[in-house]
Amino acid sequence: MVSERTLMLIHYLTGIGILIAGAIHIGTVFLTAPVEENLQFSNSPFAVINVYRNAILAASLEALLIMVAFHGFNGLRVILLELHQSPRWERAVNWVLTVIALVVIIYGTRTILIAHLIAQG
Amino acid sequence: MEEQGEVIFKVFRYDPSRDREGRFQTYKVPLVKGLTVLDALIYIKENLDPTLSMRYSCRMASCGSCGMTINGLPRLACYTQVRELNSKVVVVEPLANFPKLRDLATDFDGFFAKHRAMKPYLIRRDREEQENPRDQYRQSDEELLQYLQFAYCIKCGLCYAACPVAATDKEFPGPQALAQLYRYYADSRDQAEGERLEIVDNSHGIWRCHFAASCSYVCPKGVDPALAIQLLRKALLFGGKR
Repeated sequence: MVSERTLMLIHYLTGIGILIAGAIHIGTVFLTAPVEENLQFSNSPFAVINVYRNAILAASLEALLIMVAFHGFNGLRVILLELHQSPRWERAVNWVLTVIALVVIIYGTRTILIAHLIAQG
Repeated sequence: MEEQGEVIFKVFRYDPSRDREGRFQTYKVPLVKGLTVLDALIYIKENLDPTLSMRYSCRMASCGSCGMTINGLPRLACYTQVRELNSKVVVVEPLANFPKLRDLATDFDGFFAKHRAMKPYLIRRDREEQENPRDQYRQSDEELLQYLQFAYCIKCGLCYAACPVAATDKEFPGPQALAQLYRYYADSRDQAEGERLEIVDNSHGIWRCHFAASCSYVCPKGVDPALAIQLLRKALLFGGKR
Protein backbone atom coordinates (compact mmCIF):
# COMPACT_ATOMS: atom_id res chain seq x y z
CA MET A 1 0.00 0.00 0.00
CA VAL A 2 1.52 3.31 -1.10
CA SER A 3 1.37 6.02 1.55
CA GLU A 4 -0.49 9.26 0.88
CA ARG A 5 2.78 11.14 1.38
CA THR A 6 4.44 9.15 -1.45
CA LEU A 7 1.44 9.57 -3.75
CA MET A 8 1.39 13.32 -3.23
CA LEU A 9 5.18 13.61 -3.63
CA ILE A 10 4.86 11.83 -7.00
CA HIS A 11 1.87 14.10 -7.77
CA TYR A 12 3.99 17.24 -7.24
CA LEU A 13 6.99 15.82 -9.14
CA THR A 14 4.84 14.75 -12.10
CA GLY A 15 3.32 18.24 -12.11
CA ILE A 16 6.79 19.72 -12.59
CA GLY A 17 7.69 16.93 -15.04
CA ILE A 18 4.60 17.67 -17.16
CA LEU A 19 5.70 21.28 -17.43
CA ILE A 20 9.15 20.23 -18.70
CA ALA A 21 8.07 17.34 -20.97
CA GLY A 22 5.05 19.37 -22.15
CA ALA A 23 7.35 22.27 -23.03
CA ILE A 24 9.58 19.92 -25.04
CA HIS A 25 6.53 18.48 -26.82
CA ILE A 26 5.00 21.88 -27.62
CA GLY A 27 8.43 23.22 -28.61
CA THR A 28 8.86 20.28 -30.98
CA VAL A 29 5.49 20.99 -32.63
CA PHE A 30 5.67 24.78 -32.82
CA LEU A 31 9.34 25.72 -33.05
CA THR A 32 11.05 23.15 -35.28
CA ALA A 33 9.05 23.97 -38.45
CA PRO A 34 5.74 25.51 -39.58
CA VAL A 35 2.92 23.93 -37.55
CA GLU A 36 1.09 22.63 -40.63
CA GLU A 37 4.20 20.74 -41.69
CA ASN A 38 4.77 19.40 -38.16
CA LEU A 39 1.22 18.12 -37.94
CA GLN A 40 1.45 16.12 -41.20
CA PHE A 41 1.65 12.40 -40.58
CA SER A 42 4.53 11.91 -43.03
CA ASN A 43 5.86 13.39 -46.31
CA SER A 44 7.95 15.97 -44.50
CA PRO A 45 11.22 15.85 -42.57
CA PHE A 46 9.35 17.47 -39.67
CA ALA A 47 6.18 15.34 -39.83
CA VAL A 48 4.69 13.68 -36.74
CA ILE A 49 6.12 10.30 -37.59
CA ASN A 50 9.64 11.71 -37.47
CA VAL A 51 9.19 12.69 -33.84
CA TYR A 52 8.80 9.01 -33.08
CA ARG A 53 11.90 8.13 -35.07
CA ASN A 54 13.98 10.09 -32.61
CA ALA A 55 14.24 7.80 -29.57
CA ILE A 56 14.77 10.70 -27.13
CA LEU A 57 11.63 12.52 -28.33
CA ALA A 58 9.64 9.27 -28.31
CA ALA A 59 10.85 8.60 -24.76
CA SER A 60 9.86 12.14 -23.70
CA LEU A 61 6.37 11.49 -25.11
CA GLU A 62 6.19 8.23 -23.16
CA ALA A 63 7.29 10.07 -20.01
CA LEU A 64 4.68 12.76 -20.68
CA LEU A 65 2.01 10.08 -21.11
CA ILE A 66 2.87 8.38 -17.81
CA MET A 67 3.12 11.66 -15.91
CA VAL A 68 -0.16 13.05 -17.29
CA ALA A 69 -1.94 9.76 -16.57
CA PHE A 70 -0.69 9.64 -12.99
CA HIS A 71 -1.17 13.34 -12.25
CA GLY A 72 -4.61 13.49 -13.86
CA PHE A 73 -6.05 10.35 -12.33
CA ASN A 74 -4.57 11.08 -8.91
CA GLY A 75 -6.13 14.54 -9.09
CA LEU A 76 -9.45 12.94 -9.98
CA ARG A 77 -9.02 10.55 -7.02
CA VAL A 78 -8.51 13.50 -4.68
CA ILE A 79 -11.67 15.20 -5.98
CA LEU A 80 -13.74 12.01 -5.65
CA LEU A 81 -12.50 11.32 -2.11
CA GLU A 82 -13.55 14.81 -1.11
CA LEU A 83 -17.02 14.40 -2.58
CA HIS A 84 -17.93 11.37 -0.51
CA GLN A 85 -16.37 9.58 2.45
CA SER A 86 -16.60 5.87 3.19
CA PRO A 87 -14.03 3.03 3.14
CA ARG A 88 -15.99 1.23 0.41
CA TRP A 89 -16.13 4.33 -1.81
CA GLU A 90 -12.42 4.96 -1.23
CA ARG A 91 -11.48 1.39 -2.18
CA ALA A 92 -13.67 1.53 -5.30
CA VAL A 93 -12.25 4.90 -6.40
CA ASN A 94 -8.66 3.71 -5.88
CA TRP A 95 -9.11 0.47 -7.81
CA VAL A 96 -11.21 1.82 -10.69
CA LEU A 97 -8.92 4.80 -11.31
CA THR A 98 -5.76 2.67 -11.05
CA VAL A 99 -7.12 0.28 -13.67
CA ILE A 100 -8.23 3.10 -16.02
CA ALA A 101 -4.84 4.85 -15.62
CA LEU A 102 -3.02 1.59 -16.44
CA VAL A 103 -5.22 1.03 -19.53
CA VAL A 104 -4.49 4.58 -20.72
CA ILE A 105 -0.73 4.13 -20.18
CA ILE A 106 -0.66 0.70 -21.89
CA TYR A 107 -2.70 1.92 -24.87
CA GLY A 108 -0.59 5.08 -25.21
CA THR A 109 2.65 3.13 -24.92
CA ARG A 110 1.44 0.74 -27.62
CA THR A 111 0.71 3.73 -29.90
CA ILE A 112 4.13 5.27 -29.28
CA LEU A 113 5.89 1.93 -29.89
CA ILE A 114 3.96 1.27 -33.13
CA ALA A 115 4.71 4.79 -34.40
CA HIS A 116 8.39 4.36 -33.45
CA LEU A 117 8.56 1.04 -35.31
CA ILE A 118 6.80 2.51 -38.39
CA ALA A 119 9.17 5.48 -38.32
CA GLN A 120 12.15 3.15 -38.15
CA GLY A 121 10.76 1.67 -41.38
CA MET B 1 -25.93 56.50 25.01
CA GLU B 2 -27.07 58.58 22.05
CA GLU B 3 -28.93 56.65 19.37
CA GLN B 4 -27.75 57.08 15.78
CA GLY B 5 -30.66 55.58 13.85
CA GLU B 6 -31.39 51.91 13.69
CA VAL B 7 -30.05 48.87 11.94
CA ILE B 8 -31.99 45.90 10.61
CA PHE B 9 -30.90 42.46 11.79
CA LYS B 10 -31.88 39.44 9.71
CA VAL B 11 -31.29 36.55 12.09
CA PHE B 12 -31.36 32.87 11.18
CA ARG B 13 -33.96 30.99 13.24
CA TYR B 14 -34.18 27.22 13.52
CA ASP B 15 -35.94 25.02 16.05
CA PRO B 16 -35.21 21.32 15.35
CA SER B 17 -38.41 20.25 17.17
CA ARG B 18 -40.53 22.37 14.82
CA ASP B 19 -38.66 23.40 11.67
CA ARG B 20 -37.37 21.21 8.88
CA GLU B 21 -35.35 24.11 7.54
CA GLY B 22 -34.24 27.42 8.92
CA ARG B 23 -35.80 30.79 8.20
CA PHE B 24 -34.81 34.42 8.72
CA GLN B 25 -36.49 36.74 11.19
CA THR B 26 -36.04 40.50 11.00
CA TYR B 27 -35.50 42.80 13.99
CA LYS B 28 -34.83 46.53 14.29
CA VAL B 29 -32.09 47.44 16.74
CA PRO B 30 -31.21 51.00 17.78
CA LEU B 31 -27.68 51.84 16.63
CA VAL B 32 -25.42 53.34 19.28
CA LYS B 33 -21.70 54.06 19.16
CA GLY B 34 -19.65 50.94 19.89
CA LEU B 35 -22.53 48.52 19.30
CA THR B 36 -21.22 45.05 18.54
CA VAL B 37 -23.22 42.34 16.82
CA LEU B 38 -23.29 40.45 20.12
CA ASP B 39 -24.67 43.56 21.90
CA ALA B 40 -27.38 43.74 19.25
CA LEU B 41 -28.28 40.05 19.63
CA ILE B 42 -28.45 40.44 23.41
CA TYR B 43 -30.69 43.50 22.88
CA ILE B 44 -32.96 41.38 20.68
CA LYS B 45 -33.06 38.59 23.27
CA GLU B 46 -33.74 40.94 26.18
CA ASN B 47 -36.21 43.31 24.49
CA LEU B 48 -37.69 41.81 21.35
CA ASP B 49 -37.56 38.02 21.33
CA PRO B 50 -36.49 35.96 24.36
CA THR B 51 -36.62 32.73 22.34
CA LEU B 52 -33.47 33.61 20.34
CA SER B 53 -30.65 31.13 21.05
CA MET B 54 -26.96 31.83 20.70
CA ARG B 55 -23.75 30.97 22.53
CA TYR B 56 -21.52 33.60 24.14
CA SER B 57 -19.49 34.10 27.27
CA CYS B 58 -16.56 36.50 27.71
CA ARG B 59 -17.66 39.33 25.33
CA MET B 60 -13.98 40.18 24.70
CA ALA B 61 -12.75 37.78 21.99
CA SER B 62 -11.07 35.48 24.48
CA CYS B 63 -13.39 32.51 24.87
CA GLY B 64 -14.27 31.90 21.20
CA SER B 65 -17.92 31.09 21.98
CA CYS B 66 -19.77 33.63 19.84
CA GLY B 67 -18.54 32.63 16.38
CA MET B 68 -21.22 33.08 13.74
CA THR B 69 -21.58 34.04 10.10
CA ILE B 70 -22.08 37.80 9.91
CA ASN B 71 -22.81 39.30 6.51
CA GLY B 72 -21.42 36.19 4.87
CA LEU B 73 -18.13 35.94 6.76
CA PRO B 74 -17.34 33.88 9.88
CA ARG B 75 -16.64 36.37 12.69
CA LEU B 76 -16.82 36.68 16.46
CA ALA B 77 -20.03 38.56 17.27
CA CYS B 78 -18.40 40.27 20.27
CA TYR B 79 -15.48 41.46 18.16
CA THR B 80 -17.53 42.81 15.24
CA GLN B 81 -18.71 46.40 15.45
CA VAL B 82 -21.97 46.97 13.59
CA ARG B 83 -20.59 50.24 12.17
CA GLU B 84 -17.55 48.53 10.65
CA LEU B 85 -19.88 46.32 8.59
CA ASN B 86 -20.94 49.51 6.77
CA SER B 87 -24.39 48.08 6.07
CA LYS B 88 -27.93 48.99 7.04
CA VAL B 89 -28.83 45.30 7.11
CA VAL B 90 -26.85 42.77 9.13
CA VAL B 91 -27.43 39.12 8.28
CA VAL B 92 -26.53 36.72 11.09
CA GLU B 93 -26.37 32.97 10.53
CA PRO B 94 -24.84 30.00 12.36
CA LEU B 95 -21.29 28.97 11.44
CA ALA B 96 -21.07 26.92 8.24
CA ASN B 97 -19.62 23.37 8.36
CA PHE B 98 -21.04 22.77 11.86
CA PRO B 99 -24.27 20.87 12.63
CA LYS B 100 -26.99 23.32 13.67
CA LEU B 101 -28.43 22.93 17.16
CA ARG B 102 -30.85 25.84 17.40
CA ASP B 103 -30.91 29.34 15.90
CA LEU B 104 -27.28 30.56 16.00
CA ALA B 105 -25.94 27.79 18.24
CA THR B 106 -23.93 25.04 16.54
CA ASP B 107 -22.60 21.67 17.69
CA PHE B 108 -18.84 21.71 18.36
CA ASP B 109 -18.50 18.04 19.42
CA GLY B 110 -17.01 16.89 16.11
CA PHE B 111 -14.72 19.91 15.97
CA PHE B 112 -13.34 19.25 19.45
CA ALA B 113 -12.99 15.53 18.67
CA LYS B 114 -10.75 16.44 15.72
CA HIS B 115 -8.77 18.77 17.97
CA ARG B 116 -8.28 15.98 20.56
CA ALA B 117 -7.23 13.54 17.82
CA MET B 118 -4.14 15.73 17.27
CA LYS B 119 -2.93 14.92 20.82
CA PRO B 120 -2.78 18.56 21.90
CA TYR B 121 -0.36 18.07 24.75
CA LEU B 122 3.39 17.56 25.19
CA ILE B 123 4.59 14.00 24.70
CA ARG B 124 8.01 12.90 25.94
CA ARG B 125 9.82 9.71 24.98
CA ASP B 126 10.30 8.87 28.63
CA ARG B 127 6.68 8.70 29.78
CA GLU B 128 7.72 7.82 33.32
CA GLU B 129 9.84 10.96 33.51
CA GLN B 130 6.96 12.98 32.07
CA GLU B 131 4.65 11.79 34.83
CA ASN B 132 7.27 12.50 37.49
CA PRO B 133 9.48 15.29 36.11
CA ARG B 134 12.75 15.96 37.88
CA ASP B 135 13.32 19.39 36.34
CA GLN B 136 11.68 22.07 34.18
CA TYR B 137 11.57 21.65 30.39
CA ARG B 138 13.63 24.67 29.45
CA GLN B 139 13.05 26.59 26.23
CA SER B 140 14.78 29.56 24.62
CA ASP B 141 12.94 32.59 23.22
CA GLU B 142 13.77 31.44 19.69
CA GLU B 143 12.29 28.00 20.37
CA LEU B 144 9.16 29.61 21.79
CA LEU B 145 8.74 31.74 18.67
CA GLN B 146 8.63 28.59 16.52
CA TYR B 147 5.07 27.90 17.69
CA LEU B 148 3.91 30.92 19.70
CA GLN B 149 1.41 32.34 17.20
CA PHE B 150 -0.31 28.96 16.92
CA ALA B 151 -0.74 28.86 20.70
CA TYR B 152 -3.02 31.92 20.44
CA CYS B 153 -5.83 29.78 19.00
CA ILE B 154 -9.06 30.12 21.01
CA LYS B 155 -10.89 27.28 19.20
CA CYS B 156 -13.69 29.56 18.02
CA GLY B 157 -14.18 27.48 14.86
CA LEU B 158 -14.13 30.43 12.43
CA CYS B 159 -11.31 28.87 10.39
CA TYR B 160 -13.19 25.59 10.21
CA ALA B 161 -16.35 27.38 9.06
CA ALA B 162 -14.39 29.19 6.34
CA CYS B 163 -12.57 26.07 5.08
CA PRO B 164 -13.83 24.89 1.66
CA VAL B 165 -12.38 21.42 2.22
CA ALA B 166 -14.12 20.94 5.58
CA ALA B 167 -17.34 21.79 3.74
CA THR B 168 -17.08 18.71 1.54
CA ASP B 169 -14.76 16.27 3.35
CA LYS B 170 -16.19 15.50 6.78
CA GLU B 171 -13.07 13.48 7.71
CA PHE B 172 -10.68 16.37 7.03
CA PRO B 173 -9.30 17.54 10.40
CA GLY B 174 -9.67 21.20 9.46
CA PRO B 175 -7.31 24.14 9.86
CA GLN B 176 -7.70 24.50 13.62
CA ALA B 177 -6.70 20.91 14.38
CA LEU B 178 -3.84 20.97 11.88
CA ALA B 179 -2.49 24.25 13.26
CA GLN B 180 -2.60 22.76 16.76
CA LEU B 181 -0.79 19.69 15.52
CA TYR B 182 1.96 21.97 14.22
CA ARG B 183 1.93 23.95 17.48
CA TYR B 184 2.99 20.79 19.38
CA TYR B 185 5.15 19.42 16.57
CA ALA B 186 7.20 22.65 16.59
CA ASP B 187 7.50 22.77 20.37
CA SER B 188 11.10 21.95 21.33
CA ARG B 189 9.87 20.25 24.52
CA ASP B 190 7.78 17.75 22.53
CA GLN B 191 9.39 14.48 21.41
CA ALA B 192 6.61 12.83 19.41
CA GLU B 193 7.23 14.35 15.98
CA GLY B 194 6.89 11.08 13.99
CA GLU B 195 3.81 10.03 15.92
CA ARG B 196 2.20 13.41 15.28
CA LEU B 197 2.91 13.48 11.53
CA GLU B 198 1.46 10.00 11.11
CA ILE B 199 -1.92 11.22 12.41
CA VAL B 200 -2.44 13.42 9.36
CA ASP B 201 -0.56 11.50 6.64
CA ASN B 202 -3.63 9.80 5.18
CA SER B 203 -6.17 10.18 2.38
CA HIS B 204 -8.31 12.66 4.36
CA GLY B 205 -5.45 14.33 6.19
CA ILE B 206 -3.12 17.20 5.56
CA TRP B 207 -2.76 16.60 1.81
CA ARG B 208 -6.38 17.55 1.19
CA CYS B 209 -5.78 21.23 2.01
CA HIS B 210 -6.20 23.29 -1.19
CA PHE B 211 -4.46 26.30 0.31
CA ALA B 212 -7.44 28.61 -0.11
CA ALA B 213 -6.04 30.31 3.04
CA SER B 214 -9.52 31.48 4.05
CA CYS B 215 -8.75 30.05 7.51
CA SER B 216 -5.96 32.56 8.03
CA TYR B 217 -8.10 35.37 6.60
CA VAL B 218 -10.90 34.95 9.15
CA CYS B 219 -8.86 34.13 12.29
CA PRO B 220 -9.64 36.81 14.91
CA LYS B 221 -6.42 36.11 16.82
CA GLY B 222 -3.97 36.48 13.95
CA VAL B 223 -3.11 32.78 13.78
CA ASP B 224 -2.05 31.58 10.33
CA PRO B 225 -3.29 27.97 10.03
CA ALA B 226 -2.50 27.91 6.30
CA LEU B 227 1.18 28.50 7.17
CA ALA B 228 1.11 25.71 9.76
CA ILE B 229 -0.31 23.31 7.16
CA GLN B 230 2.41 24.20 4.65
CA LEU B 231 5.11 23.77 7.32
CA LEU B 232 3.69 20.36 8.25
CA ARG B 233 3.70 19.33 4.59
CA LYS B 234 7.30 20.45 4.33
CA ALA B 235 8.15 18.34 7.37
CA LEU B 236 6.38 15.33 5.87
CA LEU B 237 8.05 15.68 2.48
CA PHE B 238 11.56 16.65 3.48
CA GLY B 239 11.81 15.43 7.08
CA GLY B 240 13.52 17.32 9.84
CA LYS B 241 12.06 18.10 13.22
CA ARG B 242 11.72 21.89 12.91
